[in-house]
Amino acid sequence: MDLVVCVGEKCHLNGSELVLKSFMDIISSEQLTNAVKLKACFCIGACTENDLVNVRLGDLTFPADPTDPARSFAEHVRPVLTKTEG
Amino acid sequence: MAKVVIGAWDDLVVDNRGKRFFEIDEFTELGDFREFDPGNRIKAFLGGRGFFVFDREVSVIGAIRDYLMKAAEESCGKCTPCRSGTRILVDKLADLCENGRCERKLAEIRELAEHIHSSSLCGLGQSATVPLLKLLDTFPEVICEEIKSGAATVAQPGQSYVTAPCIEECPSKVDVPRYIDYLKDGQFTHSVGVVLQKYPMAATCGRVCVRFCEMACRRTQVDEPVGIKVLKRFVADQQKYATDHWFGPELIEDPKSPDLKVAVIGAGPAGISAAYHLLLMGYKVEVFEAMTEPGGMAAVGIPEYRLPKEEILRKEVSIIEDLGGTIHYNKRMGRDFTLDTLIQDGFKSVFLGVGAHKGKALGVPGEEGSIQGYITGVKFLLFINHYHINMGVQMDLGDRMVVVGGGNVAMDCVRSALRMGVGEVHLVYRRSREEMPADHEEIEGAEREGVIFHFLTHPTRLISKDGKVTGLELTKMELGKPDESGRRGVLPIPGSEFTLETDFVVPAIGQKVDHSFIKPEEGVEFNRWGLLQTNEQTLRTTRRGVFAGGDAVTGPRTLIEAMAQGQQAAESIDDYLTYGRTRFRPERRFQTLLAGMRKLQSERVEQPIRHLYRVKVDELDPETRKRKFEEVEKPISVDAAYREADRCMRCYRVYSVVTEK
Repeated sequence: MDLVVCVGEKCHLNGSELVLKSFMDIISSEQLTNAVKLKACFCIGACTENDLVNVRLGDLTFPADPTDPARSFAEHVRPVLTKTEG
Repeated sequence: MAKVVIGAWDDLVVDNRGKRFFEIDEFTELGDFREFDPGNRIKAFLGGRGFFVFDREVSVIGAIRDYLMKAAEESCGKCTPCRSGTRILVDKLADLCENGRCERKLAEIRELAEHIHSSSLCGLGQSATVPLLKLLDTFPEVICEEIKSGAATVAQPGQSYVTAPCIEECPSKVDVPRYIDYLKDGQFTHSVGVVLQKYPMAATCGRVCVRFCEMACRRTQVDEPVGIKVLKRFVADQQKYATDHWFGPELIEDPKSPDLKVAVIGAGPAGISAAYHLLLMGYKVEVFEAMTEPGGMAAVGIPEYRLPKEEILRKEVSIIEDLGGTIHYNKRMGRDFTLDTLIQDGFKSVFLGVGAHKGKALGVPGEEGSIQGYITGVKFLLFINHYHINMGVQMDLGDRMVVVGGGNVAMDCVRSALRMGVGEVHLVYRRSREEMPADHEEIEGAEREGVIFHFLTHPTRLISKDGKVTGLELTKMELGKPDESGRRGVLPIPGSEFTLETDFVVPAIGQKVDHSFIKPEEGVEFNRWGLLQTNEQTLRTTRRGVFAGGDAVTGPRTLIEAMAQGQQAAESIDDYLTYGRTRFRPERRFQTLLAGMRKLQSERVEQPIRHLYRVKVDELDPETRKRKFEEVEKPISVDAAYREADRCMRCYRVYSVVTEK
């Protein structure tokens, strides 16, 4: 499954690279490389006026918090992964 | 502007001795020569091609004697005519001024001057006797009058400046002939040291500089310009000044009080250069960078195949830390701190080097809202250079991409897209190939790598479906009549519209400053072009103690211009913090004087020189390189470097002014 982090104009300013870095670390430390493929894209089309970074996982789009990307990963990505595994 | 009494420059002779002062017309070709510094009139000007006298009281022969004395001091000593000849000539002129007997001595003086002119090995000796020879040719009677009246023995105040066309054209005023001299002598350490006096990024500049110096190189009139950039890269690569930590706090001669802290915003070329000079002056410097890596536009805007970031750029930036400076990453002004919080934290002065990172949109229907596959050129390069190469992030870029624009950013985009594996890359430019502002090497590189060019074509509509780009509507253009500047306008050909199907459209048509880092109430103003409002000489913004430089002040320009502004701002900050006033810098005044006399600047090569064409830099084969980000230009050999260095004609020139005080 593709996990796509937006690096468009606004998300980049909000901290796309922090989200990408954190997701990369989680994926490699928990050996999730077969389950998710981390990618970037220019604009998911979900721009809002907040300080968050948009992420897409399959059909699901959610905003990740650049100050605590691990929590966003736990909240949004992990349930989907457990479901597909189960 | 100034009123010339007598003057001789190349073939031009001005003689206004018969006129009263108010009858003399202003000599507009010279630029502003009235004052050297406020309240100090320029009475005469001498250079390697002649002289101008603005005041009847001046002794021309005395000024020429002083001018030659300066040339003799500058002589490197490698050839006898210049080393000994200039000294003998100075003695003979001093004897003439003191003891007279004009008629007998002038023939001998002329013979010696002609010898020095024709047999010196470099531009210094060749040009040093020109003012004297011009005077002897045009106004010999003036010499005898001055000696009889005793005017020639009166000491005249003045200033001198030694430069060369390549130095003057360089925004940072790097002493090009000097670093080439050291290279010729095998003194690579000294050679790179000459460059490091101006900025820490010698290896970066040796790769990506736009080479104003080579455009001014007089060797062009013989065969081709000297490969100044390639030689800089050669010595910079030879010397490991960054990795071997040549720089350390012991180099700081005059440490200032630790509470004289300066904040530098942006670790790009302007900020790094400002920080470097401020640190060497002894200030405590902290740099704040919004990204997680240093280099600014040099890091995110210049592709890896032209400038390797890890081995080159980041190492050179680490000099700032070696000198005791701090770089805070991931600190964005306006989000993490503001100008006011910096001042509260004890910073006494701030340098704004925030760059121009916001790409301009096409301005066509269909681009409103957020559309997948529509991204500006700077952001596309940022993704590739920062996210992809630096962090290893992947992205699906589709099979076909259209880039719009004709500058270097557009070239970087198309060549990078090929390297990202995009099958078909198109470039759309509204004028013809000859008018493309990009470097010729870049255009040729893109052509060889298989980019498809569409000249005289302009985008008219962005086509998208379900929030994704599907195509770009284009219109053919034709060249119109030339305007006042001689540039021909372009007009659309009605009915010539066609659509190019594509997944990605990248406008690379310019950048602007992102204003989100500062609020209007913080007192820093922007001008009508959206650039930071600064004083041209001091780079002071509209808020006291706050200075700015680089793309945020000039609009998107070059690495070397940004580094030059960083240095200029560092000098102003030094003036502000330590001296409390703007100090007068004679060399800067000479630079503006010389820049202002452009009409008189084209210079002939008089000495016969054997043709010897410049070194060819080997490149990776287009088929291999177009799918890789490996550096395209290979290093040159030591032999090739020596041979290239020998092509430099050392066009040093002495300029001097006689002033009132």
